Amino acid sequence: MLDKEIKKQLRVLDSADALLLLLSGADVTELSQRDVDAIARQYRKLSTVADCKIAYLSNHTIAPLDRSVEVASLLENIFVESYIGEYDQYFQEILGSSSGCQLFKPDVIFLDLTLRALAPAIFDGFLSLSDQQREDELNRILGLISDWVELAKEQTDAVLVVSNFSRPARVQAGVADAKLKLSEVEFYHRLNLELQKLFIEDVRTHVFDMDHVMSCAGKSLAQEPKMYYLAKMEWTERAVVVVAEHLQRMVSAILGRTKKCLVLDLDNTLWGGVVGEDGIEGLSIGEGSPEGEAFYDLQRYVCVLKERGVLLAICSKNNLQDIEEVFQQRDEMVLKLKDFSAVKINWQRKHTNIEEIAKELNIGLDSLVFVDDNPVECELVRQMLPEVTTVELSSDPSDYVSQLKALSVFEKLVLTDEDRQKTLQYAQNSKRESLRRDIKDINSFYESIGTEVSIDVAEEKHKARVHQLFTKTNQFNLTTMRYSIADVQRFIEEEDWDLHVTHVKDNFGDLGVVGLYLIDKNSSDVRIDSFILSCRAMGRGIETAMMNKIKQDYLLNDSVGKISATYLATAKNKPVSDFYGSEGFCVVDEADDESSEKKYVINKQVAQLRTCSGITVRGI
Amino acid sequence: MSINSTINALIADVLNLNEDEVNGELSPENTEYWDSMAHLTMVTAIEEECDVKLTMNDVQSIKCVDDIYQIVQKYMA
Repeated sequence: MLDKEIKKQLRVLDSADALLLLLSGADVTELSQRDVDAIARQYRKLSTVADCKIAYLSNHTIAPLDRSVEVASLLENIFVESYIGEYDQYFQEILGSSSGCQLFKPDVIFLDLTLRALAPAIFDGFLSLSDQQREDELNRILGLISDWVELAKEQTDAVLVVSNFSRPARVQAGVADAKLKLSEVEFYHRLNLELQKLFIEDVRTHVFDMDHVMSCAGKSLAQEPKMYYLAKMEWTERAVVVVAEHLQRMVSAILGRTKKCLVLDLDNTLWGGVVGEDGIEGLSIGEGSPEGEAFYDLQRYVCVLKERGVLLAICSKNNLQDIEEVFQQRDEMVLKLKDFSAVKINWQRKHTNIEEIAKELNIGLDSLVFVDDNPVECELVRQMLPEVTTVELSSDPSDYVSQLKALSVFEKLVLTDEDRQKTLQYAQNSKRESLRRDIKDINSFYESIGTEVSIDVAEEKHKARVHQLFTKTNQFNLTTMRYSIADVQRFIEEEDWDLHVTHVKDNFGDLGVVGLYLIDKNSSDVRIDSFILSCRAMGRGIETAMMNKIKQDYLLNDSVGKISATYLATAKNKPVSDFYGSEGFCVVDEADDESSEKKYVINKQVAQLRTCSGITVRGI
Repeated sequence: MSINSTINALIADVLNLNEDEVNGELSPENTEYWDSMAHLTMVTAIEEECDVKLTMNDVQSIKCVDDIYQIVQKYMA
């Protein structure tokens, strides 16, 4: 709840930064609808560039969900702009080229339909239908939604989020429902399951589990009949908050605002007690005490995050040897030292250690989440490294798992095989690092790891990973074009574009698809639109192998006279600012401030392939 | 705090006004932010804060702030 003083200040704010600053100092847990309205009112007056434009299409009154999602997103530093489609015109909105939705050009369309209007026979006439009629209704609803999705994909570039159907708090047959041949409970289960199956392979369409969200809100508390009759509002204020929270998670995932690494403290965070004081046997972890069980469950949940592709790191003020003994001697520990991709156990300041962890894993500070029970350490990290998301654990270990589950920063739309293997890959990377120290000369190192690169035309199966590379790669990304999944589809299908993906294997393992480049063949010469390499694969000549392939395909084997390319500077891609220069391109145009944009070109006459030691390239 | 001043605070909050700007004559016609959505937000806020439940008829019969005072008074008596 926002207090009066904050609200007073809110009214006179004139910039998004000031708004974020004010909210960061306010208690934003359990905002009332009035608070949300007050924030949204002010937010909408400010001129912000939207990170995500959401259109809501529905057959009931969707407001004030739009404002709640704007505020929930704002608190995660995401600027959302909203459009609410005309009531019950979810087909018209995507069909007419001059409809409000089309003119709005949404990044995301949220379709939420209530069966009350879509299938009244089911909603309050279930018992008068025969089993066959129930089947027919089920198929009709699925058909209608899949028609809508197909049209929306054809007519717009938006990512589609489609709600499933919330089973009402009370079923029409009462307790006898379970004895019906096709019961109402089964009807909703099947409808929702079929809906999920319909889009399971569809990277552009995502089912929003409204039935689950309404359960979280409490179904009997989520609806107020009065509000439906008065204004066709399906949800109470309390329910809107829960819908907004879940939808915000979807938005984070769609935008790829996913944090990569969880940095954990040890004493009183991963186990109860302090090693230096309580001794190894004195620590609480595992069965035997309520506290121990809570820490055990926390470790189990950290493992779940690891399975989701989150890297783990330790940042603890301790003696390394003591900690190694804890991991060796306490069998109850779910986590093992090898689960951590970076380990900093020393007496340095925590923010220094966190910076080193980021450097070691080759990821940005804003990809880190730091968890500690000590308010002082948390505050220091917040002050020194504001880019890091800092989670201060409460004083009660039984809350820790809920605190981590409440974070929306680890949300992803799809878990790819690469995600599941990531810890393994980073572990292999540190093996590669350690090998590097023993080898005098960089070329002999490259040869020793036996890198095998294959560069192929992107296909349907690469779509999810390609989209992930476009949205998540920051460092080795020459133009940082954040293309949508619809764009990726176009690049794969259309003649004017060549999209290539780079797959890498070496003696230590399979790194999967780690890079891509996108060539625009629209104009007379050939233009490199995007050139991306995951940070896991940087610094070993793979980029040169990719560039060789480009030169080979277009300049040496084809009649193209020259290739143009652009470097667009961001806060993170400085390391590749002269990549094209180093590959033999000449600068033709440089912006005055020399930092924002550089245009390059390479002519057929001067193009040469460069050697990349130790790399075997397939596909050339 | 009297019940009317509780109501005034809630109304001010919803309609983006200072509390001293709220009076019995305020209505959708003379108040910028009093639209149909704000109307329902006010009702929900008053139901929660004053621990009353308004009927559908009550909600429809509110034409100005005075009406709100009277309806809430009816349930508090």
